[in-house]
Amino acid sequence: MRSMLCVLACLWSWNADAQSCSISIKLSVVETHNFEPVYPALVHIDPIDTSLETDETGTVQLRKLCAGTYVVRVVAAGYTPQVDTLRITGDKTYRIKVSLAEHELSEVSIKDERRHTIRQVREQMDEAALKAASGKGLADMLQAVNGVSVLSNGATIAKPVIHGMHSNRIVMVNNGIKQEDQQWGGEHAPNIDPAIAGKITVVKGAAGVRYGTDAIGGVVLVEPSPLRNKAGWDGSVDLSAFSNNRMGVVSGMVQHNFKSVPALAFRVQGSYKQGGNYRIPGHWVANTGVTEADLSSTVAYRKLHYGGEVYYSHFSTDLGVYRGSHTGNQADLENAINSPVPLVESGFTYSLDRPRQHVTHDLAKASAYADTRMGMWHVDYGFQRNFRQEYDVLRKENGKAQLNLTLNTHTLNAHLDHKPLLGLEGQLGIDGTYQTNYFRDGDRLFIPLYDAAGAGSYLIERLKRDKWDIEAGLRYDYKWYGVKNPEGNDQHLVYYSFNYSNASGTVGFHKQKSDRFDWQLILGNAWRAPQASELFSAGLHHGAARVELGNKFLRPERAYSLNGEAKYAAGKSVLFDLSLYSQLINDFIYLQPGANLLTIRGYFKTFNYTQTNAWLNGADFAATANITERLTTTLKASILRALDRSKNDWLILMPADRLNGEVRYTVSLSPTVKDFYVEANARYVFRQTRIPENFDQIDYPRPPADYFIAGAGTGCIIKTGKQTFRVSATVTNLFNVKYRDYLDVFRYFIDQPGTNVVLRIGVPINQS
Amino acid sequence: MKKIALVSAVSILAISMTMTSCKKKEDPKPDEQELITTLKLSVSGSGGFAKTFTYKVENGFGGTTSGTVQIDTIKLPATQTYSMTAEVLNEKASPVVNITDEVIAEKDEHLLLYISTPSSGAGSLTFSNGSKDSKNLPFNQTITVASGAAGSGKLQVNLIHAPSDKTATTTTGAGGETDVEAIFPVLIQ
Repeated sequence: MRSMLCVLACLWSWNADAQSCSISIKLSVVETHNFEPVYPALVHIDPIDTSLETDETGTVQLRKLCAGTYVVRVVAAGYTPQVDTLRITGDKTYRIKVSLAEHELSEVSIKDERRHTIRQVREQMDEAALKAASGKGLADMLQAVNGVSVLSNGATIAKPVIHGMHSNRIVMVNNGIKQEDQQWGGEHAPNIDPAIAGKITVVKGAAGVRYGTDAIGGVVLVEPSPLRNKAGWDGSVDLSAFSNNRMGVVSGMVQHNFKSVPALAFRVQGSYKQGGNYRIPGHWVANTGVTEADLSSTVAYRKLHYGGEVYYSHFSTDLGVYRGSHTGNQADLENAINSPVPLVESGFTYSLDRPRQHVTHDLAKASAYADTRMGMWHVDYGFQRNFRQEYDVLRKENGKAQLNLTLNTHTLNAHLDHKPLLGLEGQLGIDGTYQTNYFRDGDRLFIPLYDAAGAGSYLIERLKRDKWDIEAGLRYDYKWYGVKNPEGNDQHLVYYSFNYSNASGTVGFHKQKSDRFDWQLILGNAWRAPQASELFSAGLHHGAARVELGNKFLRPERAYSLNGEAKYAAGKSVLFDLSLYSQLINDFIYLQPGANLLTIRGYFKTFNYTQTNAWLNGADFAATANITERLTTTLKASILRALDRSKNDWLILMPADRLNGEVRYTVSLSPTVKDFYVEANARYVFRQTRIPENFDQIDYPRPPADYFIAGAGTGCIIKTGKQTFRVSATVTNLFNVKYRDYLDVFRYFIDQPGTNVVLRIGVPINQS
Repeated sequence: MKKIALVSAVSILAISMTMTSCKKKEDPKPDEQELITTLKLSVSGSGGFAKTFTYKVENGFGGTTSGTVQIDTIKLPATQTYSMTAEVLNEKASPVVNITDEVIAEKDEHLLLYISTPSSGAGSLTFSNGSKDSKNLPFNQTITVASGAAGSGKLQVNLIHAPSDKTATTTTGAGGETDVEAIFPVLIQ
């Protein structure tokens, strides 16, 4: 749109004052709401017959002006004509604000980037990248981001790991609302359909100031595309088929903008997925099918200076857990580990047996914004219900789930993107949450009943200059827990109440050294209150055959992270991106081995939640080279050193170093076959050798060997008449390599999935 | 501004309504699923010999300690033949739940294994004629046991759910999931 811009500044009146015709002024043309510069733009001054074009900062400079009153009119395609009267008496910078014309409005209202003003090291997956990975789970998709690995239970349950941190140490923001579904443990995947996203951003490093408690390792932002802003409708259909587990995924979207009420638009989107047992080299994995059905809808009313949106999404999945991962005692586990083949053999089936899970997640959200003299106000309210059922292996089938957990969460965020004040742009806001967690009568005890409430307020300010900007933020949070824990032989409820509060801060500096080189340095901070399972857990983990015991005396974790990133373009064709980080986590909560516990199933290892001071250092490096216009190669490397500072030892269960490489050849073959590409990629993951000294007492066997897996893909965009089709075929684990990954909980039992061929067709409908 | 105020008011109202509408019901109580606390071996022999040996670890996984633990020593006269019946109970429930019938009903999915150390000679117990399931594969809920010469040893009894091999004589061979693992001291006099 910017390319269409043309700014005309006319001086209507010309009251020359002959005495002082040596004034220099700057005119800065910016967008009303976000103060983004408007460029390139032509500035024409009538009386002195001068034409000037704004630079990248939206500025033109005028010299040798005489003092007087000038009326400036700005006309721009897509913008409402703007008339400003300037009284010029001396050297000064004037800001001319232009508003987007109403029919272009969505460009303004969905500037989420600006709502997350905080400066961070971040990496984005855009719509093209998301479409190319459609049908995959969220965590799997995010593996494309440097520095992100995956913590999994086989091929069906996976969650992202950012710089070694996962679960409650990272925050997921689903369409502006902090997702609340991971509080229950490591083996629970985020309940988000990635097909709702138009963009996914991974924020690396502690980001507590903007995202609140728990944002220790980073943040994953899942954001839908802007709603349609022109009258009429469009849609899309995406189909994908996965060979490995014979899974089919269909995803569709329809959106409409009303001609009679241009401010009103809606969208309906849905996905359905069904897969059966997956295959590892040589074997089917028993009971690993998955079904998922998701629906989301949005209705928005958006005027120039105010608007609102209502959003609802429903996520529902049923998935099987590998039967052989459910063990009775230590000997069973060792038996399974030492077996060269999966202990439970199976053929292919779509049907699910115990152990299995049924999980639903509902999110209802209402949001509003309004533009005032102070700036842009936003209010978001969200209600989420996460419902989780676990069907355990039983002696005798009773048709019931042994765990029926509900987590209800209300969240409220209100913030103001204030207009520049003393040269500072920024945001101030408040956050509130209220949460209840309960189970059904007669359930297996997993985590106790609890209520939790939290409140926080924050302020982030940014000072922007031509070549650099600096940002600082401050936040204060309060969190309360009320827990009813069953104790003693009769399991009577004992009430506990916990209060935590903490301040967090952040400072970020960015310098644009030249067109080719820029760098940033961010000092971030976040904290996290211990979660209910860490405080009260008293149960057996069947997958690991161990008893985990909570600790009521845990203190909050506090993290301080220093992230630096430098981007350098060597010539036109090679781009380097290096990001380094160092993170101190005081009172890092982890499991320490304790005494053995005798049970009716024999002796079990026990693990107690305890705290230490952790120190994580690492680097993510990426280099992209355009060897020719058509041939591109990318190399990525990610390393992490995670230390227990108190014991001067390595931390357990940290991702191993890894390398990724990709070669891609792109060519447009004809007007019908465009953007044809062929690519090959490979991943090498080192063996994790940095393990605690007492590893053998805690875990068995040692971390799996290093591995190398290759993949390939091809695809293109086919255009016939007005209709386009996006087709692709990709293969993962091309050579059907047998390997295991240290962060896969099923590494004890089975290999990683074998070859998987994925076919995808994307059909945009009525999209221009 | 008015709109903001309105939206905030509505949101706050929505929150307070939802919060107050959840009037506290009776708190749900968790329950240990399919808890077994006790394995009982009833041994009878000629001349009216009858004894019951108990292996009990009460607390399941609800707590940080094992709860009440009772491990009887299996004391038997030497070189005799007895018939033995195994029972599993949940003695934490009141009244006590006898789970044996449920296991018998699902006998195709269960196996009892008896492993004596030493496996023969003084202090050993040897097993034969175990009861079968519906497919005529071992189930061993009732079994014949013969005592060796006087001496001491150990008897490990495993109740295995969904064994992969019902004819196995070791836990490794049997696979499946261990529901009970009881290790009794043995004293043959």
